[in-house]
Amino acid sequence: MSFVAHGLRIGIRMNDPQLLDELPQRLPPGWRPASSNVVDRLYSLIAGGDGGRSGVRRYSLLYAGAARIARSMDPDEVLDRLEDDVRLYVAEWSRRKLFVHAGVVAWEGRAIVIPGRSYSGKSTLVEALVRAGATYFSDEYAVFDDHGLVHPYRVPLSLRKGADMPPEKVRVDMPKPPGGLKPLPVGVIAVATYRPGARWRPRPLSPGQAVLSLLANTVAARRKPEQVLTKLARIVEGTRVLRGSRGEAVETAGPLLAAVGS
Amino acid sequence: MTLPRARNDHLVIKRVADETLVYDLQRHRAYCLNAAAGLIWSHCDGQTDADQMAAVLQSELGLPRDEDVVRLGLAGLDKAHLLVERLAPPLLAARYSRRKFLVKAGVVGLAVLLPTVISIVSPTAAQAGTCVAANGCAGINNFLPCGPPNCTKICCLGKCRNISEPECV
Repeated sequence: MSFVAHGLRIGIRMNDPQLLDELPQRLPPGWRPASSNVVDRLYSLIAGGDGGRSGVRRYSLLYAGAARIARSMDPDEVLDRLEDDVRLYVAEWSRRKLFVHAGVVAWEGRAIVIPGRSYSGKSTLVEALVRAGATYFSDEYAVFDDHGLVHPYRVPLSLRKGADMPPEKVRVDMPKPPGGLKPLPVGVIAVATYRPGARWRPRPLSPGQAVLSLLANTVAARRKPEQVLTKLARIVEGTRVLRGSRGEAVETAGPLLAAVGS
Repeated sequence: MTLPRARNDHLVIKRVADETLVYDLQRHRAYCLNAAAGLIWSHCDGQTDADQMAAVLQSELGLPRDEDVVRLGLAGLDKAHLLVERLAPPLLAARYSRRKFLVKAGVVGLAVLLPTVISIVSPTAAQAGTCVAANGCAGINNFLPCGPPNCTKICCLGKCRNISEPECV
């Protein structure tokens, strides 16, 4: 099969047609089927399982081009890897969009963008904002177009149970608003660092500092720094960018929503 | 003594408001120079000395005409490898004198005007992406960062390990 996601054509070939049923839910948000045989990246998925001889099990394998990127007895692990790699590839190589690792919610027609690395508490804050009434947009990437608008990238919200536990995917039970989700201008960018007991009293960042804060979470930062800097500078122009320590997410959600209107 | 010269090779330079953003294509580091640091850097032409730069800072930003301010800025630029040649020790003497300068000037409000160079390491694609769950990296070498805290480990032979571990090389 082949599909297009954010301007990139991707092909996946496999030896087990049953895997085709698994794929659609694992592809990047916004993908659509394509018929072209010419692709930017080709994945080969070889399902393992029982071998011809009794007691022999074969690995499931995943290749990106000629490079093997996963090998496991568990086909689900290989599918997880495929899902992660496709998302990362699209985020890094998209020609039209800029992907910044961030959580995003919509509030009063504007986007609240929370850039941050994994395990920075971003998902917890996104969940608290959704519970406070905001609309879920993304838990993984803020996807910016050339006009600085943020596009929805709705993947399941990933919350982890314990500090050393891998994230468990939890589907956010939030219906899309009637008419779907449209790209939004940025209302606030909040660089929030979790610190137990802290109170959210952020300070505004200068435009230059704001660009650095976003650049630190931009997937294509090293691949096309000049374009990235130009786009980020456009995004922060006229946008409130706040940085500070925050305590519990539920206590931060209210002030953060209020910051959009102020 | 050689006067400082700004480096301009392998750099991407962008002005944002009164700040200067610099991306070092060799070191993959990005810098934000505030107005004073940007002004000093723009006058690092190998012909302008510290006193002349101090005069520019005074006329453009209203800073006191003090060579220590210039040295402070040059030390930041030197540390960021934004000068062609490393600074001579006399110019570096002021590297840690920000507080001393403020005490000398007696004006705390000047702190925001003093030359500042902020830097970050530009992330690789994987660093800027989501950490892989520890159980999701089976069979992948040196691929994505994984596991808490803060993605300081990488996926190595199916386990989250420190990047410095020899098995991952």
